[in-house]
Amino acid sequence: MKNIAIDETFLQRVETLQTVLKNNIAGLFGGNHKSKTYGSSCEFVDYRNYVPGDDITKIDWNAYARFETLYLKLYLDERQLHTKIYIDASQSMAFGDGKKAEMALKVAATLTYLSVTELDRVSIFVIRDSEVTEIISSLSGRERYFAEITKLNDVEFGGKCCISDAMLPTQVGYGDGLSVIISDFLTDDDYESAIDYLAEKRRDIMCVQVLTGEELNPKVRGKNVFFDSETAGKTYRKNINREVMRAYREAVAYVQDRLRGYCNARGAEYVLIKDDKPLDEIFFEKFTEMGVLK
Amino acid sequence: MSLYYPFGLLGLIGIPVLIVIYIIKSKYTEQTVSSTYLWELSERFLKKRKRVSKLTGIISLILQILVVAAASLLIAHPVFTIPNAADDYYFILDGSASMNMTDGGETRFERAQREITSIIDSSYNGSTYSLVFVGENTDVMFEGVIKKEQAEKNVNALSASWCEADCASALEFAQEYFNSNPSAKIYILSDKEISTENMQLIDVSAGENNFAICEYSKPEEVSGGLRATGKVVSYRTDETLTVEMWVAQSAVSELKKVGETSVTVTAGEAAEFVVEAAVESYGCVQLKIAEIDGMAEDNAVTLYDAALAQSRKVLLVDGAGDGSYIQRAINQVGNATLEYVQADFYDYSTAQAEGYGLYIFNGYVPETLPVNAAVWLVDAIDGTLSGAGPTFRQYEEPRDLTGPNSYYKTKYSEGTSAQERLLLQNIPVSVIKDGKGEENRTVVRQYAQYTVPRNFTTILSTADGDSLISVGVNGNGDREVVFSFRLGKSNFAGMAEFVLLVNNLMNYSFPEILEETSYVCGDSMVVNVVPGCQSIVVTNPLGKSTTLDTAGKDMCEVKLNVTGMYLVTVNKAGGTDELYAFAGVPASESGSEAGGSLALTGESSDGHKDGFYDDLLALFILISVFLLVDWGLYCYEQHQL
Repeated sequence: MKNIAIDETFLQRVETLQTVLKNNIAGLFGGNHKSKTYGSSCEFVDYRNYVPGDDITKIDWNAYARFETLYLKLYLDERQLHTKIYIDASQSMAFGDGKKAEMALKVAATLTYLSVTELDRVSIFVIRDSEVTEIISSLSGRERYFAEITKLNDVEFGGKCCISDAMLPTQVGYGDGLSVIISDFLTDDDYESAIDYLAEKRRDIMCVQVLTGEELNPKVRGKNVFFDSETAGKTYRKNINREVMRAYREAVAYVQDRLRGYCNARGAEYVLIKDDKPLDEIFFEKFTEMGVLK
Repeated sequence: MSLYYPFGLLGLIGIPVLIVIYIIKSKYTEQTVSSTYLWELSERFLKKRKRVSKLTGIISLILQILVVAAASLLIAHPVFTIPNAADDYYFILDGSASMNMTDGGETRFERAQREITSIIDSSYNGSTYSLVFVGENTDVMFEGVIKKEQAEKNVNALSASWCEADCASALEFAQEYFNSNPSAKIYILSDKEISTENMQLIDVSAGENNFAICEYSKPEEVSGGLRATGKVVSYRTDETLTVEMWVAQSAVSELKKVGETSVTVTAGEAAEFVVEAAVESYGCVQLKIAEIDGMAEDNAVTLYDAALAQSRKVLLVDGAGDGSYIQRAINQVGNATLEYVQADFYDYSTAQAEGYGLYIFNGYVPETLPVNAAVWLVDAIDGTLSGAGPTFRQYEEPRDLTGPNSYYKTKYSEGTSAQERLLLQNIPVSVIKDGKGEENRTVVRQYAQYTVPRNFTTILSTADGDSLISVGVNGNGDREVVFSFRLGKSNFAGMAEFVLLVNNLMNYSFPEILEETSYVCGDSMVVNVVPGCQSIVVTNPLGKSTTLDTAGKDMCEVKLNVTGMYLVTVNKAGGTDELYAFAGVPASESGSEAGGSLALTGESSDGHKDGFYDDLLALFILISVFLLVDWGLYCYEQHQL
């Protein structure tokens, strides 16, 4: 696979976007994301009666002058989040001209940049077989981003991808940010457990399904034997005719509906990306229309 | 069951080929995909297929094998025998002019064709069909044809002639066929009333009424105009017919009606008519019956004015002193200007300037053969005249001075060719030829024996066959008459036929391009090859042009087989002459006359041949449709989803 390249102008435009999070933020102090708890940011949210022991510097003396009662001014808390991106590095992602893998890495790199600009930390993992490997750990700051993001070019695709088996044993944090799973989800393996696991950990979840045009609408016709790129010896033999194609399209829709439905049920976001779509369209149209970014 | 073409079964080789193709076609294309997950998942959404459709692939192969097998069998042409069902059909089709008579938009001939087609259609396969067409000629058009379509096509390709024809002329062919096939069904399709034996007459006459101008003569000039006379006839009913006279100043000008007369006609009897018109001159006269009947072609005759009388200028060069015989005969014939000159005073260059059309050398052999003029050499051949044609051999003289051996008896030719008939016209050759009237036989006492050129025709010869009078075309391409005897040494000049023969020879020497302009179909039109003629083209009424072969000929014959106006175009060095002739319907064909009796001798039998059923075309089409549908579905499934 050739090295990924992202246009700097595009990245500058990405800086105008902002991640929309749903869960309470439980990250570290000092971030850019507003927490649902009261904190020390500049954004006023409410008053409460003073109780002995409160910080008297937060008493609103103007209110005391008017009501002769001590009130404390409450401000929204802001937290630094930890975005975790999981990339499916199975053989099926890199098959053919590798565009699917390239798209997965580009999306990961862009989301990473977006998080970095939001003063968040980002970790990138690759899932191969039943293992999760962290290739970039707690990345923050633009300078470090540009220094480390090139590690994505070293990702090697191969083998299978068992998302749940790989993620369940790992520490994914608790309520401290967004988890992104980028995969083709073309598997019968249990990926739902991984989503449940992330949801249980009160993480915001985004499932990005990357598929190629040929996978969505194959051009093959006639009698064919298909060899599975991930599993040696696994074949599918069929006379591809109109009936089979109709069934195939139903299968594609089923896979999408299944993942979308499960994500919706767990409050996760589901995004389908075709490998030939431009990043600009994906981020500024698709993600924003879906409310994942704003 | 038998096979017409057993080699057709070789097509069965196609079956193993088909199976091999099927196996090759069934080979799966191998390719690697990112994941077979979606394909395997699609199985869940595939509808349960019917048992039959599960066999689609093999059904396709079975169908194709069936088609190949069926096609091979069809090529092999299996024949299923049906005992005693077929017959041999023999048709005698009258193609005479009367078969062109129309009733209700259909001619008798077309009715006959329909009858034949109907008989063929209703016959069993395995029957054979033969047909003799009696038209201008009587010919076997096809014999022993097995295929109905072919026989019908051949029948429908025929068309009736405009000539007189007699079905009796087909009897010889029919008898020969009947002798070999006594069980054959023989039909005569005619409009004539014919009594038959061992044959079946199909009368295609529909009782149409027909009128005709049955007799006519060239219009004569009378004071104040033209008068045409003739006879008209109505063949079935009493009628009052109107005979019109139409005139044009040339053959190609528009005809204008100039007179008419009404004639009351009793059925089947000719009635005279006289039509007069105030016309001073004409190039073309048409007489026609105004009423409409079954055949329009015999209701009108067109008469063209013959070519203008030519100037017949004759120079008689006399070297024997007995030229008076010729002089007298030519004067009797008339219509010629004769000049006499003694041989000693003859000068060709002087004579040539006078433009003589005929040179008669009597007992004198000129030094030069005249050009562009006819020549008579009377006792004037000695082998010295170049281009004259005859090759002189020797003089023949009788042994005795008196008695039967003192002269040579002569005989006329039998006059088989048209030219001989014209040259011997009105001469009672048969009386002499049959040995009667010996006292009137021409005899000669001396003659020059010579070799007659191939393109010369002898009209009078000795009993031994030596030519005495011959005619032909000489080396200059001009007409020439050779008398190999001296008139003074023969009794010929005193015979009654001498003047008649001189008249014919004068006509021969001064030919009109067309000696006759009015014919009936079946006649031969005589076209004389006049001096200076380069080519002659005859265009028939249908517009078909024929260039006549005039090389070495002094006349040509053209068979007239279509009714209407014929155009004769003569191309000469000085320009082109266009002449017209008319061919009418033979009078005998205008009415349905009795055709006599036609009988085939011998005993007919009731035997039949074995018929067969081989009409498998529908099956072939059905199978082909199956094949096309199958292949179409296959292509649709594979490539146009």
